[in-house]
Amino acid sequence: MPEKSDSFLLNIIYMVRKSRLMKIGVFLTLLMILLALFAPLIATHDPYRTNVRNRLQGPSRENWMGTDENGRDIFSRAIYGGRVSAIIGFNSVFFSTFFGILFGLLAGYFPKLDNVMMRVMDAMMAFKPIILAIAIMAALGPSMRNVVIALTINYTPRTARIVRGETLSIREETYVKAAISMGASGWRIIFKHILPNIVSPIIVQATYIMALAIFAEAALSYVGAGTPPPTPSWGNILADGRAFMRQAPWMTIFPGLFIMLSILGINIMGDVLRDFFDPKTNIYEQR
Amino acid sequence: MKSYVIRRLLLIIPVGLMVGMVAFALIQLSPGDPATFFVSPDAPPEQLEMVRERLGLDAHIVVRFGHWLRGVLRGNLGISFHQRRPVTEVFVSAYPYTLTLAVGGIGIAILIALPVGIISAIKHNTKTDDFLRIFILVGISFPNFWLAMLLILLFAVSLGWLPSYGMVNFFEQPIQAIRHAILPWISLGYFNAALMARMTRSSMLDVLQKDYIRTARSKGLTERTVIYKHTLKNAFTSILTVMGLVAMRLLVGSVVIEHVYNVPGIGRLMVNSVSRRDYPVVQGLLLITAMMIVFINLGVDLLYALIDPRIKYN
Repeated sequence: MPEKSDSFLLNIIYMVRKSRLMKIGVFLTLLMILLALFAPLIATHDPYRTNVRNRLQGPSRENWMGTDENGRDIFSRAIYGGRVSAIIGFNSVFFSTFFGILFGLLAGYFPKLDNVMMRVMDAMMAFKPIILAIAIMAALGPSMRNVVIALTINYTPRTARIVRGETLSIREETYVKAAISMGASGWRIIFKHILPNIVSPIIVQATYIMALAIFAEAALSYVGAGTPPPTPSWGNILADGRAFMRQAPWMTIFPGLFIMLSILGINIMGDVLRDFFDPKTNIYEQR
Repeated sequence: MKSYVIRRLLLIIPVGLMVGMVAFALIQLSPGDPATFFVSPDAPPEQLEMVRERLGLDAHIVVRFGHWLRGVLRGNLGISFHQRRPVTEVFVSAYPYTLTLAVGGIGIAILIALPVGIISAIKHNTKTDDFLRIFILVGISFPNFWLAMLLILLFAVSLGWLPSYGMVNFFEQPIQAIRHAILPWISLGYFNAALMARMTRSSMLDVLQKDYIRTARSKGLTERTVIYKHTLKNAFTSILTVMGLVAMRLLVGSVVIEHVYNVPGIGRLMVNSVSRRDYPVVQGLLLITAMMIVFINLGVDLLYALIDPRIKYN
């Protein structure tokens, strides 16, 4: 399909116009972002206000997605939960991408650092992400900030590996060698020649990290090692619902739908982006 | 090949050491004193000190690491604070449950993934392909614990066909074990099937465009031979990569799925040990699961060489 442009935004617009799948992906993602941004305007109730007389009520005109065991409105809690997911997702993506680029560039550009840094990254990647995240949460204590730290530690090595690989191959390109022979400094080469050339694999990777982070936050909160209650998070709303599956299945059905649709939207975008930029690469991530 | 195997085995030493250091440091540096679990809240400080000494918590962290490492090398991962028996024993008694889930999950994933991937590739750009691609995309995005809860709602709560949680030992009561395991297997299987099917589809499509496939077709070979003998066989190395990933993920235990279904495997053991601050178990599990991943990775790499003679290791 591609008619590649130098502008990333133009590429995206092109893809949205050409691919029906991309339209769905962008629509779902934008929807979730808007819901998170305007949560106070969209939520019909205060997500924290309990109302014992109204507990475990099914979906109705008043409570679109029913109420939980404390009589709180599930729809409003899910909308605010989307905020938590978005905040944790964007922060994890930002920090893991930042450190991933930093470590990847250092390892790829300075051979002396390469061996040590990559062995550390190998060791980090040997841990199963959720197990490592739970251990980190145990060490730091439950809070949203610590979820971001745990996920950043998990995802940084992945980005670092990709950046290192790209850096190594770009360093061998003739134009980079020419720049070196003309006396360009290391930093100039990194910023002028290497970084601009690794933007697309990094963006593809960032979309996958976003999807993984949303899943991981929900999973951590679900097992009680993530966002601590009463702050609503998709994971802890589901965890609350587990005890009331028989009486209140809506507590299980609706929050999960939010998780799935947001991950689906991001995954679709990631797939289309990947096919567009580099049909050969395949990134299969661990959960 | 032999030297490659030896080099890969040697590389395990630094990675293993690093893994051990991370596992140890992470848990040791965490706040909270496990000794408080063993005495009553109003116990005198001397008693707390005594417990700390007995648990070996009073030594310097470097000393404790050395001590722990020496034990690890002899296969001794310490004693669980909570269960008061060796960590290795705790692991061994939990692992069969995880293994039961893993084997079934991998089985279901392969059973779904190969036909879906192959059909979707053969029927490329048709309605069938569209449908299967959606099946794959949804599978990759479906949070497995949510799927698990929905399955419980449908098959246990509404229909009452299957038990909603718990697990029995497969070797003692195989039929009951399978009844308990069906829902967890599907919950684990769908996401992994989707992942594998996606890879099967894309690598089949890749191979189908090759010249030798055109040659095979123009020779008049049946479509069956072309697909199974020429295409699938050549696409198999990349499919194997994903199978390796899937096997790895499931064999080290699914924390959330074991949590949803109350399966006493190592994933649940991890969560429980964290909340009980059972440091030796958490450390041990971090180390064991990471080393399992390192070895499975090695195994997958070696399998490539067996399956694909074009790969040469120097």
